[in-house]
Amino acid sequence: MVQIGSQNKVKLTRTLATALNTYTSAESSKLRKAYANALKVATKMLSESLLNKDIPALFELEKSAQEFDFDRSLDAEKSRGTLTSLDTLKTFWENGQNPSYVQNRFANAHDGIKKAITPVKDTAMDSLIQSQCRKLGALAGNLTTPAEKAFYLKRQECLKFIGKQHNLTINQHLGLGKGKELGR
Amino acid sequence: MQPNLREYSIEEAGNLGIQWMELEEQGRFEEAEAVLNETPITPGMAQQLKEDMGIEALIATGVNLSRAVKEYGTNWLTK
Repeated sequence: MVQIGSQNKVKLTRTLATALNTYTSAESSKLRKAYANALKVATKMLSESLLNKDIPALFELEKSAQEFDFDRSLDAEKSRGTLTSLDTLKTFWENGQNPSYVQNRFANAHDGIKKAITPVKDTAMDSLIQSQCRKLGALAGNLTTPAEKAFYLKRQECLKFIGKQHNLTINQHLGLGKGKELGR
Repeated sequence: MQPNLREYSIEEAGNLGIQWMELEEQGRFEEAEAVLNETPITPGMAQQLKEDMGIEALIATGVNLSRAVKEYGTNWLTK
């Protein structure tokens, strides 16, 4: 039952739990420093998965990070909303890995139009990612420390990357954009 | 392997974060790792990991599950 990426998720979970614990009792400058340190480590873990283009790991890490948002009590309602959206994003992405699904979903939609020569975009996925990024931006809106801001910015970057890779994959399945990469 | 259920106060848990940071800064990574494992994770985080890994694998990581057990009861460790 142990899945790929679980060890990374355990590491990130412990790191974010440390951030929460230090944040909760952050009365001394050392605790504030430890809080920032934990978030920096978490941001680094996200960066590494992003560099490795490890999308399953990015989904797992983002899920842990959303649990952090919830426990950090930035805004419980917004946090719960992002969990639902993330699950939908994951479903879109998984569907995008299936060439038959992509052919049915997108080729039919473009049927009757001149042969597409420009890349197709999954607008539903794009909209959801934009919405998710806005929610993260709103959660981070009142945060002031550079480590916190960096953590939320990195999460937005990861989600945008997932969206771009998803569009790239569906175009490959549709026979479009061969040899081209949708720029990051 | 026995689950890690050591309880820490809010202050003690916060201080674990300082210890972890200082040990990492000193390059004492194994000790830092041990301190990080002592950090009690939240019930929600523990539940997510349990769903991903199964309870036995989660216990085997040595991660501190005291808050989850406090929230969900000891049966959570077996179900």
